[in-house]
Parts: sequence; C-alpha cells; structure tokens
Amino acid sequence: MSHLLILPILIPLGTAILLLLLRFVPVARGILVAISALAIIGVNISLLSKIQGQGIQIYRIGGWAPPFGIVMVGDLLSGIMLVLGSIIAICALFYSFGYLKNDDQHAIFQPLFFFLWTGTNGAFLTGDIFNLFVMFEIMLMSIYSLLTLLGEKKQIEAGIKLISMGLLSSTLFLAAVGGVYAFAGTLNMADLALKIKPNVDHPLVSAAAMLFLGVFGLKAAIMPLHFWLPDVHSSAPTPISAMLSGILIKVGIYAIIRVFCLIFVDLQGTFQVFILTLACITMFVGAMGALAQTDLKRLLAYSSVSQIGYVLMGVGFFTVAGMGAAIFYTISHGIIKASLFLAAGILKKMKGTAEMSEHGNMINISPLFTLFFLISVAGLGGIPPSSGFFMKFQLIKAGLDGGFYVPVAVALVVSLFTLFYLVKAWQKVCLLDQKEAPKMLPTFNLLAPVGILAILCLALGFAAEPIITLTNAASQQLFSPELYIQAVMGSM
Amino acid sequence: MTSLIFQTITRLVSPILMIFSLYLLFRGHQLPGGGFIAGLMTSAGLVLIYLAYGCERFDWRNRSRFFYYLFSGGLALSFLTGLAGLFVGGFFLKSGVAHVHMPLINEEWEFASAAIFDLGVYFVVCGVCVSLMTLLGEER
Repeated sequence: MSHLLILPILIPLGTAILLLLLRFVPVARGILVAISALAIIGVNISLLSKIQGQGIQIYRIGGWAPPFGIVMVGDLLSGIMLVLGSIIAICALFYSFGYLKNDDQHAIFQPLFFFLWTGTNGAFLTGDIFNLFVMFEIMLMSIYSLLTLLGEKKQIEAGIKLISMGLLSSTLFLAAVGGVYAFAGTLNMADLALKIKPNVDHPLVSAAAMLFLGVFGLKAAIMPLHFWLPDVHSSAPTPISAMLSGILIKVGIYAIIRVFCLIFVDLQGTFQVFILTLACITMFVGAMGALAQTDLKRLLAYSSVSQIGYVLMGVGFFTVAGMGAAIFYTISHGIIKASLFLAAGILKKMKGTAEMSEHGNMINISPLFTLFFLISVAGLGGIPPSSGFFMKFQLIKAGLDGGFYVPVAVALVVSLFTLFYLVKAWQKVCLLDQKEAPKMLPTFNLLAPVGILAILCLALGFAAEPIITLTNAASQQLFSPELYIQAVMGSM
Repeated sequence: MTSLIFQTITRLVSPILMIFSLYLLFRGHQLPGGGFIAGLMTSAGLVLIYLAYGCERFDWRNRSRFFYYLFSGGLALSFLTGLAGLFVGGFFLKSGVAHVHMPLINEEWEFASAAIFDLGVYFVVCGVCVSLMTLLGEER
C-alpha cells in the first residue's frame, strides 16, 4: 500500500510540531517552512495525477479495515481541492513573511498555519464522518488563534463571533453525527451510504441531512447563517483572510457535496428547491452587502458570501454539468479571491487602513499592483480571458441545460452588481487622485504572491479546457457513488 | 489564598492525585483512563499547589519555557509513535503489543506501543494546563 495519501496530513502536522520545538531558532523555522510548503504542494500534485491515473485511492489508518477503522479516501474532487488549497496556502505563507512585523508573531503564526493546513487537507481526504468533525475542529482551533494574532480590537470582536459560530456548529455537527450513528451504527461514509440507502424514508435520515446542511452551511456562510463571515474575513490578518475566503469556506461546500452526493443521494430531489432558493438569496444578499461597503476588505468579504451562492447554485442543480461547473467555480474563485484579499492587504499595509476613500492613484504609485488588481477584478467580474468568464459561463450553461431558468436569471442580475461594485473599488483605489502619499511602497514579498495568483487566474482562463475536463471528470465520479463505496468497502 | 488549612490539605491531597493519575495513565490501554484524563488529574494537583503556595516554593513563571517544551515535546512523542507505526507496522498509527514475562514477580506483563502515544498526550495536557494557569495568573 502506498503512503502517498497520508502524506498531505503527515507533512504539515510534523512541520507544525517541529516549528513549535524550534520556536527560538528563527532561521531554522524559515528554512523548514519553505521546504515543507514545497513538499506539500509536490505531494498534492502527484496525488492528483495518481488519482487521475489509477482511480480512487484508499488508506487505512492503523491498518484497521473499514468500516471499523478510519479510512482516508482520495477521489478526484479531494485531489483538486488539495491542490487548490496548497496553492493558496503557499501564497499566503510567502505573503506572511512580508506582512507580519516581528519574529514573535512569526513564531506563533507558522505552527498554527501548518495546523490549519493539516485540518484542511485532512477534511478533504477523510472518509469518516466523525474524522471530518475532528478535522473541522483542528481548523477552527487554529483559526481562533490566528484571527486574534495581532490583538487588534476589531479582531477580538470578530474572534468572539467566530468562537460562538464555531461552538454552535460543532454542537450541531456532533448532534447530526450522533443521530446518524444511532440510526446506522457506523461512521464510515461509504458504509453509511449503504446503510441509509434502503431506509431513506426514515424521518431521522431527513433530519440528519437537514442538520448536516445547516452545519456545513454555517461554515460556508450560506445566507441566513452568513452573519459571522464579513467581520471575521475582513478583520483577520490578511494572509489568513486569503485562506479563509480562498479555501476554508470551500471546505463547507466540499462537505455539502460529499454528504449529498454520497450519503444522502436519494434526498437530492427533496432538497433541490431548498438549496437553490438558499443559493439565490445568498448571491443576492451578499452582492447587496458588498455594494454598501467602503472598506475594501469588507467589500471582498461580502463578495465571498455572494460568490458562495454561485457555487451552491451549481451544486444545487445536481447534474453532472452543474457539479463540474461548481467545482471549476470553486477553483477559480478561490484563486481570484485570495489574490484580491492579498492585494487589499497591501493597501492596508501602505496606509494602515483598507478604507477605499483613503487610497487612490495606485496606477502611478505602483503600476504592477494596478495590473494584478485589474486582472483579479476582471476575473471576479467574469470578463474574458480570465478564468472568471469561464466559471460563470459554465455555470449559466449548466443551468440553462438543466432548465433552471429562475436561478440563472438571478445569477445574471447579481453578476451585474458584482461587476459594479468591483469596478467602483478599482476606480477608487487605482484611478482617482489622492493627495496624501502612502507611508511605504508595496514590497516584493507582498506583490509576488498577488502576482502569482493573478497570473494563475489568467492561465486558468487560457487553459480552461483541460481544467474543465478534469472538473467534469470529478463530477462524473461524484455522480457514480458506487465507485467510491466499492473502493472503500472492497478493500477489506 | 494562604490559609493553613488549605496548605495542609494540599500537602496531603496532591501526592495522592499525582500517584493516582499515573495509575490512570498506565491502565488506560484496556480500562477507563488514559493520557488525557491522567494529564488533567496531574494538572489539578499542580494547580492546587500553585493556589496554595503561589510562587514561594516553586517559581512557576520562570519555568514557562519548560512547560512549553513539555507540551510540544509531548506532541512530538505522539506523532513519532504514529510514524514508528508507519515504518515498522506498515500503517500510520499502527500499534503493536509485546507480552513480556517479568522475572521476579513471575507475571506476564503487556506493553503496548499505544501507551507511548498516551504518554505524549499526558505531557501535552500537563504542559498546556500549567502554561495556561501561569499565563492567566500573571500580573499585567
């Protein structure tokens, strides 16, 4: 048995522990961070190509056979999410070297960041519903401390919101897992799917499905449960904002996909209207919130809410094309939003605030920044040739093919608002005149990650074809859950 | 809180707590107990001493680095146990059991590698609890 599947968890975990031990040796920590970050991205890419070549991969932790032990399962969706996560994480990590002020902050930031990375990688790989809960907890624990790292007043306030959200969602998650366990007597997702299939009419099953949707909706900030997101994402230290909006809310979406495409397959029809309605409201409310913001980071946070609505809409179609579009949207939005957040962080670093009225004239101060910012804005606005065009195009096409005219209409109208608030932000920050000169210019450490992500966004646009093929293959795999079940249960 | 009664009771109770926590730690493989609960119990004993005597017998604050390394080292120990499972047993977190005949007492003792993992957990819990206590009890 190959150990490749466990490495995306082992490397960041081991690195985090070593970083804790090396607290008082800054140089060694820097080298270690660089080596392991590259190692993780290498492992994740090779894992994805292995899954592409050989199908779904299984790893039995401790050698215990499923459904009794915990299994790690890597299918195409997990592989894609792992690679996306590591691209964003590596950029955020590089950015943190220019963003954080002193070594004390680095000494706390780095190990926690790797624990966070362990949690996201683990959540994408695990094939056990309780283990998913554990991975969520690892992510939340690290985020609590990372969020309040700089000790600003706004961050403490956001921290309280995040902790109440986290406790609420953990309790509900545990209740849902408990309900499922009481009913089916197993926690392994593939086994659960087998046990629930003949009993889908049982009231406990629908109740559990609803609870799972609520819990993961809380993490993914779907409309009535999005209250915590704008504060948390906007006041977090910028590399963490990029991680939060780029990958962490996608973990919630990932979990919704996993649960509804594997365990509650037969409930898809029942939940479809509900999910699509939530998606439409989320899109609309997020965009309306973003229109009213004057602070760039808050604007981006509201925009994340709106964009999650798009992804959820793709999921809610429950067609192969729709799911493929949702996965492509996830990739593309993750990269673009991370780049935008990092750009907003540069502005915040330059003047101590991301208030748009304080900034201006960036086109003369830093043309490179303006270029990268423009690419990302065009990407989120859906202007070709950036990947943003393809993400929206795929989604709308899937919706029209499936006959979902109302959600598509809402999505198109909200796109207009999206373009409007983004252009407004771009104009204010880059074009309008501003008398007061900034304290500092963007440094290489800060600009390079933004540039890499912006170029990736363009590259995704030019090379959309292979990526769309990949996401469609992933979606195809999701709609044949028997492959997943066979891979897990057949390995006994 | 320097009351004579409290100090005397602490002197009596905390050694019992420590010994009982070690007992819980090593029986935890098969029976109720284990690293987490034992760590909490040891920390309870340490907290009692801290409350009763403050820093007059033992300077907690200047030993914060020791407790920092205690919990990170404990984490490393648990992780290494998992890794050892990977290299020896073929799976991450694979555990093994050895039955050893003890010569003097003429009994069969069971040694499980999971006990080392538990020991790591014990260190983590002790280190974190004491670090928290000294941090929160610090004057600012």
